[in-house]
Amino acid sequence: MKKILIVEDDEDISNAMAIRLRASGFKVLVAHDALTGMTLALSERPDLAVLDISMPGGNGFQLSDSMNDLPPLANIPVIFVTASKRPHLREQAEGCGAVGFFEKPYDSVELLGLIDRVLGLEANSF
Amino acid sequence: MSVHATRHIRGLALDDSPGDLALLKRHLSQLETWQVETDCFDDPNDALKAFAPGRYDVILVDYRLGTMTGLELHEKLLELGNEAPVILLTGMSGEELVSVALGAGISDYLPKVSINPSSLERAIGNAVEKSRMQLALRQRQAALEESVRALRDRNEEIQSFYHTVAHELKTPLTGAREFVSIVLDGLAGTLTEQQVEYLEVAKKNCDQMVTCIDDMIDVSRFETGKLSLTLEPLSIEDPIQQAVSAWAGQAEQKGLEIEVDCPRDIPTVMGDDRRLFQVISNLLSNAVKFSEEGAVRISVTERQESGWVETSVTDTGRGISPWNQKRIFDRLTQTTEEDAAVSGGLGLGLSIARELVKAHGGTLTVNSTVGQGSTFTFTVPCAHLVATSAS
Repeated sequence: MKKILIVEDDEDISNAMAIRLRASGFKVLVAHDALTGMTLALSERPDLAVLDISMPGGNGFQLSDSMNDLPPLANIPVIFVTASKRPHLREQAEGCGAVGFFEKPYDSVELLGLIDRVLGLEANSF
Repeated sequence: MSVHATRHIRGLALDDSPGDLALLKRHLSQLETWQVETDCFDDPNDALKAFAPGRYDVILVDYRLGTMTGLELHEKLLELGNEAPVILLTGMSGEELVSVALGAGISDYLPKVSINPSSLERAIGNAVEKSRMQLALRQRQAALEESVRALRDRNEEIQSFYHTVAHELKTPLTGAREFVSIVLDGLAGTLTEQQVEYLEVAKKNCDQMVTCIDDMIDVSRFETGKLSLTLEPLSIEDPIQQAVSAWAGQAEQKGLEIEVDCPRDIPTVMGDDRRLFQVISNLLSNAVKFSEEGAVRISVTERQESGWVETSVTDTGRGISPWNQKRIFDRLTQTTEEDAAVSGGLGLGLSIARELVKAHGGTLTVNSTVGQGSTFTFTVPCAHLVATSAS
């Protein structure tokens, strides 16, 4: 079972994501801040991470950079999800090597589709 | 009664000829308007030692000073922070020296032969007045720069406030929309047809609110000059097809066709894919909302002579009166209450579309006859046109 780490400070949104992902057959790990996210990433080694950008105590970009700096976590694909409309976030996400960037409210079908593609599960989804 | 009130100023006089220096000092003591308290030097290094910024109101310097020229001394004084006007005195004459001296920021130039109390009176008067005006100008410039800085900061604050508002509205909205979607998609149990119908309404209303928030952010970007496009060569057909997919469902519900006429040989345009989608989607959504029958038509043509691609969206709605045609691109305009009810939203759509087209360098116009529908047309530059003008 593939493991997905969600780091999202809004509990309702992380809950909603977790419900979707579990229904799609993933094991879901949830953190509500960057530090807990990093700790979970190190202990659980998820197959993919979905990161919020604006979070108290360290944003998603910083978390992604920290993961990239640690060899065991550097290859975990990252998808950013944000409610922010500040300019150049998409470019910044690309700069971090993210495999996806979604604005909230995100389209769950698109998000799940991308996760399947990135994890090579496309065949299973048919 | 004296015409001029005597004004007391401090001067520095420098001449390596003691005779000339004594003469200059005597002339300076005979001025009517100015009572000049003069420090006299025959060695430039002594003068530089005595100098301090703000100490003198006027500086009179001989051009030939032995170890350096008057111009070199002027440069050294500038380095020390001199703001007082410098008048260059010389036995030599020559246009070239005058132009070099004035170019270097010397305030005035007096040939030694023509030095007398009245010429000094005039030269000092001009120099002091000019220097006073320059100072006032500099102060005004500084004040203006400060105002611009303050306005720019305020702009940033306003923009930042809009972003915070958008973020804080969208976060709970995302939670609401996601849980509605989860229930709607059957992840919380089977639903009746009526429940599905009601939840669809809830979801649609969430989406409408998202559009309003995005529109608000866009307008704040235009107002604060913060809109940035990511321009790249693209086929205009791509954003058109995306917009058609987005509105096909609504059109079908109303029994409307969406026809696209985009010839294969339309050249690549230079544009921002997502922003062009936004423009076309806005025009198409209006066309679908206001048409009751027939087809909404999108057609693309190339204006061959000028290097622009023209896209038109034509509806079969009730048309727009000439008076309203002037107003529909204004912000917050819904032409009638009824229109507002049909289109929903903040009435920002067309003003945003026009600003986005303008940011591409193009124009968005309307052609309409009441009772016969409307055609909205916008232009974007061909990629080769942009490449040519850039090089």
